[in-house]
Amino acid sequence: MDREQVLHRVNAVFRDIFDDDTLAITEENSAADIPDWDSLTHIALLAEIEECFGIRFSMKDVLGMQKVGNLLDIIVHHT
Amino acid sequence: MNLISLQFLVFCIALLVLYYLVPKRFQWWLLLLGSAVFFLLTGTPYTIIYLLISIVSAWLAGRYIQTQNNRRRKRAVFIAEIILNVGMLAALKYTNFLLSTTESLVNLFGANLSLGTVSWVSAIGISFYTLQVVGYLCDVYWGISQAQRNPFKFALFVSYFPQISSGPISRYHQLEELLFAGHGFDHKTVTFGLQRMLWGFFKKLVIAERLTAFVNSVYGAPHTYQGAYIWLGTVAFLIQLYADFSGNMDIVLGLSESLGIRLTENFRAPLFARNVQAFWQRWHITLGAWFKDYVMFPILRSRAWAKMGRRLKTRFGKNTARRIPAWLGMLVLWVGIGIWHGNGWQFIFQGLWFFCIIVLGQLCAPLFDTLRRKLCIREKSFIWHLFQSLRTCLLFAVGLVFFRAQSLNHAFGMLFSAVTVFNPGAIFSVQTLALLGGWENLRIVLPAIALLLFVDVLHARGNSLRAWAARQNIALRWVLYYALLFAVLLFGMYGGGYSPGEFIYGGF
Amino acid sequence: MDNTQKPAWKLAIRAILFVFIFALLFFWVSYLLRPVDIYRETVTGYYAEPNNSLDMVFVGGSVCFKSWAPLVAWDTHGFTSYDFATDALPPQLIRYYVAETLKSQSPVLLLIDLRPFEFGDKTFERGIKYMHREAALRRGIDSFSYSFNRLDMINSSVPKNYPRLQYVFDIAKYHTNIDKLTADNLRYSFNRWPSPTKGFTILTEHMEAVRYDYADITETKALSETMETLLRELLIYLQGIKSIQVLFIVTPYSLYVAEDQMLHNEMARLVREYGFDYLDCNGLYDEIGLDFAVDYYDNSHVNVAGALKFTRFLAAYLAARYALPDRRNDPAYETWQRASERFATELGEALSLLQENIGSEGYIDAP
Repeated sequence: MDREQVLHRVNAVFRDIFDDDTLAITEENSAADIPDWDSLTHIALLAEIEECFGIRFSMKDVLGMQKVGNLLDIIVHHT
Repeated sequence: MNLISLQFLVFCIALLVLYYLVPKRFQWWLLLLGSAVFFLLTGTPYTIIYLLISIVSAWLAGRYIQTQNNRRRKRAVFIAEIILNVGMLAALKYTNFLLSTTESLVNLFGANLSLGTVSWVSAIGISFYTLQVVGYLCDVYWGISQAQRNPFKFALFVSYFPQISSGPISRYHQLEELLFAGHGFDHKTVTFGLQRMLWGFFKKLVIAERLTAFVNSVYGAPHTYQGAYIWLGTVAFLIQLYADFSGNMDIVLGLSESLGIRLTENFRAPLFARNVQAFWQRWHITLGAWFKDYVMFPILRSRAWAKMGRRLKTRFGKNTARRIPAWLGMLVLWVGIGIWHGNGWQFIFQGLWFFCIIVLGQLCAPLFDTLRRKLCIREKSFIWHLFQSLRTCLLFAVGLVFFRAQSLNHAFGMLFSAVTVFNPGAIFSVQTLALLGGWENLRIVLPAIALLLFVDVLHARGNSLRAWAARQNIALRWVLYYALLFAVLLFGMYGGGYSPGEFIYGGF
Repeated sequence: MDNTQKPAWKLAIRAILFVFIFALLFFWVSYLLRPVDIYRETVTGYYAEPNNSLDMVFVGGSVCFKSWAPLVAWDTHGFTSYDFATDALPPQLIRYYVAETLKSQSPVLLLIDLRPFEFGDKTFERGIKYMHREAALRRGIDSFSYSFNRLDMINSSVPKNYPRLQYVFDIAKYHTNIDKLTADNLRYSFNRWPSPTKGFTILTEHMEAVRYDYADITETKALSETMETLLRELLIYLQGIKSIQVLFIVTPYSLYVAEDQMLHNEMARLVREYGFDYLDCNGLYDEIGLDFAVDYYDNSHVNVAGALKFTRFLAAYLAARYALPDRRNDPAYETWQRASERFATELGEALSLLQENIGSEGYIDAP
């Protein structure tokens, strides 16, 4: 699975979680860019992504995510 | 060793001078030695045994976890070591609380139990360094950091003196590079660090100390001072605590900066936060971050929580399934933060208060948004921001009542009195003025607070006052530095039989 | 302008300069904030005297500057003197006052008041001795200019459990005076300002004191151990100073406790043991011409009339025994002549005021 596809699927999850169909995230986005993206939604986000891709993040992954780019790296690493 | 003392200043200067004289590879040894001296001169010397137990056992555990392949054994050592450290903290800090609570509970059933109290002296900074050690263990266990091979380097990480007694709570991987690397003398780094320390002294001595008497009066006799006094006293306490704690941070971070070691910020203009959740991301930042990363996240990602989530999903749908476990996790976080703050029910209530407010805030957010739109106020407008900041500070201040009141009963009493007793005129009375130290005090502390807010605004906009000053010509620069120095010397509350109040978080 | 690119020696010089200027400002601000009262004026007036211009210096407690009027002595015998003393001077400070004197003056005669040794060890209140009273210590120490002598004085005179650092840096105590600054503070901000009376304080009230004649008591009563040790230390210290003569003196007062006369006798014995001179004015009331009904301000101190008599008597006594010069025709000492003339006017007014007060009688509280 290449990065573009991953980004596309992750974007879908974001749209679902944040209830915003116009959302278009990029690699550089972080929690600062989306107002509702706090630590609680972050966990919900990760849970959804895990389910979506059939993977499991480690605590190291969870704590290491600063921006969407990190997230994509980790997903690609796991799949 | 009080941070406000000539002893501390001499210690800092001596350390700074030696630090840049010794060869770079010995610098961290000097810091370790300095930390040992600092610890022994602050608080009771024999309590260093607790610190040493933490250091030695955590170092060994870290090495074991790193090198061991057997998952079960790794986990066992990890958990055992956490229990040891947290256990020491709990025993030293919360035994009396546990005893009295047990006593009360048992006596509810008619018994007449009296368990007495212990008078164990805890180590300086045990609440801070324990968190740092547990954080390190988690980082090693989760593979975020490599265990430190050198026990002395590890000892320095745990006991690094600028941060041991009041934080910030650092992560191992952040501190590792800076702490053990050699630092060459850089004029700008050292002078900027010293300037920051001076600013910290200003905040502590000219603002925090000048509000102490008033806050002590109101909170010391809440039956005498009701209604408006409680409002005013709590606002004063908010400013006092902010000036004191962030002033401490300036001193600590400034000192560390002049050693070439940049620690994380613990404050970021919290008074301008728009809601309580955001407030806690700007106030005592490292504490909230620690509990988030090492308590809340592991809980939220645990199997038990996932199970709960699934059950709720089938019964109540996706949204509830997401929110309830999240809030429960957050509840644990806030109770944890509450407990960390002190050994009494009032602190747990403090945590609960913030939890409730944050949840309510999330639930009411659409309401406020509608209100704003009906009043045709733009979201980014100053007036809306002002409203949000004031609201946030007020809500935070209520939490502070739990923190500062003599007991939980007092806290409830004070809050009750604050809303039922209507005496706004009392704020302008002669008695209040006297309690506040008269115009002599107010005409110094009010401009100082204004200056503090002004500097915070500048920093929030990304300006660096120190850099600006450094660009001015030397005469103006020096006038500014001398002005600040003498402002502290002349307007600070110290000396003459007056001893600077103990740092509010000093018993931690 | 990037400071990091400047050469190290330049930065070092800047740093040193910064600290140096800070130190100067710090001392000046400390002096600025010190309270201005008669006790400070005595000391700052002393510093204002030109070097090596004083022939006699009177060191001790309040009896010095209330009994000895230097400008009267100038008038009668032409030698210069100064009352380098502060209220209730704790006895352990005397030797530092002597040391301070010798820094800038080389007097022919040093006059030392022995009263501090009499009451130093007595308990003032709440278990605190007179010699450890904060007010007395501060009066004695605070007005001094910054120096190593002052530091030594603090280290040896202030009890260990007192906040010594706040004595060394008295700005810690006085910085709240920032609110109450007046032109006077500015005037004294270099810690030297001439005293028009050369340290003397004019007292125009009177009290009817009682005269006790205990001059024929010859028995001695031992001083307390602390006081005797202190006095011996002072005497040994003075022995080490060449080319100066010392006279220990007990000024005339209402000796309501006969035992005190015995203490005086003991102090006389000790002083003479070390080869120094001693004068007890309490057997000489008639010679001095003191009238206890009108010449006294309180039981311990004479008022301006008594001071006039006492100074005339003692000046003659000193001029006869010690090689004190007569400088009345010396053009270099013209300022003394002028000061003396001004003082004469002030003295006249004071004596009239005293006369009025005596007429209306009564004892008015000390300032």
